Amino acid sequence: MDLNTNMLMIAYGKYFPSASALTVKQIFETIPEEKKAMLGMLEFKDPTIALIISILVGALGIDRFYIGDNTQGVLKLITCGGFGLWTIVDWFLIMNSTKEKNLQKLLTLA
Amino acid sequence: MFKDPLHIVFMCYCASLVWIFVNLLIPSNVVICPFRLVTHLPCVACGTTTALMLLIKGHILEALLCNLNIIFIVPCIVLYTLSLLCDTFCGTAHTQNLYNKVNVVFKRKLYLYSFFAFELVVWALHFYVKLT
Repeated sequence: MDLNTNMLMIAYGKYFPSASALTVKQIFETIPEEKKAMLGMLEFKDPTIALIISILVGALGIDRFYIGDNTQGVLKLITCGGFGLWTIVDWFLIMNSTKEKNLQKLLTLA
Repeated sequence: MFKDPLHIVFMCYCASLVWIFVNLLIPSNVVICPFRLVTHLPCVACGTTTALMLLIKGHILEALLCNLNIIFIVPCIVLYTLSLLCDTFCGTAHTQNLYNKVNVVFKRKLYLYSFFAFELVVWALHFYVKLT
């Protein structure tokens, strides 16, 4: 793994699922130089911030809006956080969902 | 189970039906909204159950005053029920198509922000009704 890939993994590693680390590493190794500059423009969402939002105002669906799941956010909003149950479930799922969304964004670049 | 959005929609739909059915049989003032339980302030969706109960009894204006969201919640429930029945008995993919169409609508910032503005109006109406 060259220095550039190392640095990209250190900078962006926390945004992706750990199970996909090899895939992410391969993408970073093979990505052209001009596309590396576009990485910063992809606006990866921080899983920790998503979790904090989910705990504080998750009942209003703001955590889902934050990661780009607008339809699910709307559904969560109009059902009072899925009758309270979805709110609690998302406390445990939101970090992984954020990482999966970030991986999908990265795959569009590759 | 929670990765597929359609599963989540289906579970919300089932939970809504059970909740409406329970409230029809045993009317109660149980608060299930986490936002209201913590902050003692009504959230955007508070009053939806009461609004639906009023609508079922035929009091349309009172239902709308209770929660304006029923303007699109009721058509959504009806549409989703019809899609589900079509998919079950005719083997179509209407629920998936419906979800994709709604997804495309809410991906556009104009519609999303219009929805947020509408929800702010609904929320303001809650406080207005509470104060008066």
